[in-house]
Amino acid sequence: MMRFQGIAVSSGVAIGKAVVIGQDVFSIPSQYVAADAVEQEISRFHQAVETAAKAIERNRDLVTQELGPKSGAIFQAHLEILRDQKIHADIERLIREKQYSPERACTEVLRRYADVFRRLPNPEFAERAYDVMDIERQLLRALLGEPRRSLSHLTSPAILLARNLTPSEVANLDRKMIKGFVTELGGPTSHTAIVAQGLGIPAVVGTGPFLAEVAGGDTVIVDGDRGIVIVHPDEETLREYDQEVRSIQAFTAELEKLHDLPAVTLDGTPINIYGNIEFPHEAVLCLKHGAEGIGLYRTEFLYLGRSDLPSEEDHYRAYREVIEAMGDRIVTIRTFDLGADKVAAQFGFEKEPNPCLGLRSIRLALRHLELFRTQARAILRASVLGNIQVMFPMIATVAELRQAKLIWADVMEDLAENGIPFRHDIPIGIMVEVPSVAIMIDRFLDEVDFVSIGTNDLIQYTLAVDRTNRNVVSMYNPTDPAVLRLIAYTIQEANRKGVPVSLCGQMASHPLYTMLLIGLGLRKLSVTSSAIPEVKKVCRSVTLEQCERVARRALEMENARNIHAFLREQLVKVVPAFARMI
Amino acid sequence: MSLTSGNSAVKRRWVTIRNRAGLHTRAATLVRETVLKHRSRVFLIKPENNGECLDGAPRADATSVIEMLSLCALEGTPLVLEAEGEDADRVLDELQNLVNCKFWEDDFAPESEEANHA
Repeated sequence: MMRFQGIAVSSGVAIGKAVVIGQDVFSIPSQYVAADAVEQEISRFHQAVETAAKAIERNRDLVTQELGPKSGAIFQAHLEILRDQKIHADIERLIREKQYSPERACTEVLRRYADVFRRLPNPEFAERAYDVMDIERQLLRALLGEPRRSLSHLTSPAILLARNLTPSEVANLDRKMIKGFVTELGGPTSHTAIVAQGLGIPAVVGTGPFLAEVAGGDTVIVDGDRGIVIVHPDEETLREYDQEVRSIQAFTAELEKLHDLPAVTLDGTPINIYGNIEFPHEAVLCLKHGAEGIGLYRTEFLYLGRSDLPSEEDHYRAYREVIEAMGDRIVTIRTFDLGADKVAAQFGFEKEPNPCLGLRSIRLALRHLELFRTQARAILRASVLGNIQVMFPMIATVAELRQAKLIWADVMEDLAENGIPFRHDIPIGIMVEVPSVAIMIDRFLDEVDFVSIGTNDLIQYTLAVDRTNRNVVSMYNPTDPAVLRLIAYTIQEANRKGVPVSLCGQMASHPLYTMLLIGLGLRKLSVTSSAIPEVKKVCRSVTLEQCERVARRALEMENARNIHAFLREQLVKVVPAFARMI
Repeated sequence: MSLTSGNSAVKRRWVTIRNRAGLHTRAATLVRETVLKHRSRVFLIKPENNGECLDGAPRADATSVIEMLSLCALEGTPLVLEAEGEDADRVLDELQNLVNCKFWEDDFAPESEEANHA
């Protein structure tokens, strides 16, 4: 038995027979071309570029469709490099001036670029060397017409072992037969990692050299949670892992069965689970996972990646799509949560020294009313199509809330004057994400129809931590006692005044916090669609009394780390299968 | 490579890469597309030693994605944008805006980022 430690990049365990992939070796038939054939060879090179481009486009479409745009983008990047004029000029020069064959010229030029990348100090940029090598192989394949070693026709389930897998190799794999990946090279941001996550199969990368120790057909275990690869496992190890595979499979199957079951605690308390969405098409995913409605529809995407502002119709269409998908279920639309820097191009704003504390979100809306009014009109027009409510982000003072409501009323009046139908009683709520609102929540509750706690910003503003800053991110803790106290108080006051309260930050989407939140009195969670089954599983495995005990104890504890450990321990007690995942 | 710093038509701007992923493929593609809309020749230069001397500093043709990637311009890297041509100012304006707007990436919606549960 041999163990190799690598980097865990895609969760799960797989056991299977090894298939070992070496590098493609192309033998280049001729190194030079005749002087009078130079132009002909150059056009052969350009044809090869077109052939390779078509192959890459095919891979891109295939992968985008099956694994999503993030994986597909890898191939878009390949196309950019393949069509790079600088590379073409370098290759043509070698063919023309040195009379290299196109094959040799491609190899020479692309390897030179790959070497440049390999020497870059930043691992993410250095990994682009693999992309360049992948393109070299695509070009050689196009030039030589060499049949690729067929990974697309495996006859039995296998674990793929390779020095490194290129994206095009991964794209052409027979997905039904591949149970796991191991590569000697690569890091957490490698394409193998991204694609394996997309496929949902376990993968370990960066093990260092070990292929010499394995032959095709050997039994291999890939532990994608701990980053371990075991070759020739002994019987005991095999039995242990076999058990683990079975329990993971059983748990996954169990979660899938929850889609149509209600989120109800063991003692019969119903918990409402809503979905968070960013793009209209995600509404369907929420329904599929059994969401009761949309608790947070972010609208920022409407403003992204364009140089002008979205029109009222752009807004209306995006809202209509979601409302129609959701039928009579609640759809909570949050007005735009943009920083001034994001719409700078449209307005010519100057750069802010501290955008998180600057002109963003509702502040930007109240400063640039035309933006806000356009969105308000579209939401109100869409209100007659279904059951929607609207929510203002980043409110910090009561005055701001009143101002926003005033504008809202003004837009309603406009619509009414013009005879445009809309719902007059559309519920208006706010995000609780600035500490000032949590502290003064009783005052706010008198003026809104509902509140939703946004934990990501609440944590950031309470602890004064920018979680994208590597130097301080360790202080960003959802379980910090100060954060918990603000959340607890908000829920308690809302329940006391009978105002609906939900939580839509990342905290709601992680099963670790579910017991705590229920115990604090929360009955409505808005969750990323993929996390709905896990959260539901917790709800269905606990009693209210258990949750309340957990919450009471957590509020007494003195630091984030202890609370985190305590929550983990309590969760594993009720659903042992989570031990592996958290 | 006809540009020299002594040429009077050469204009330069200092910028700093601000997006988290740095000047990666997609960002470099946007730079190229912007440059191709104009007539000026544009180079990106990665200054060394606080930029006291730009001669010999790594430079990339802004129409070549692969050369720009080779600069390894990470978040926080200062770059000099250099343009020569009749519309040099305009192309520099657009490029500067592109860099400052982080190539329209980095989630602007903080809610959509993964919280750190570690």
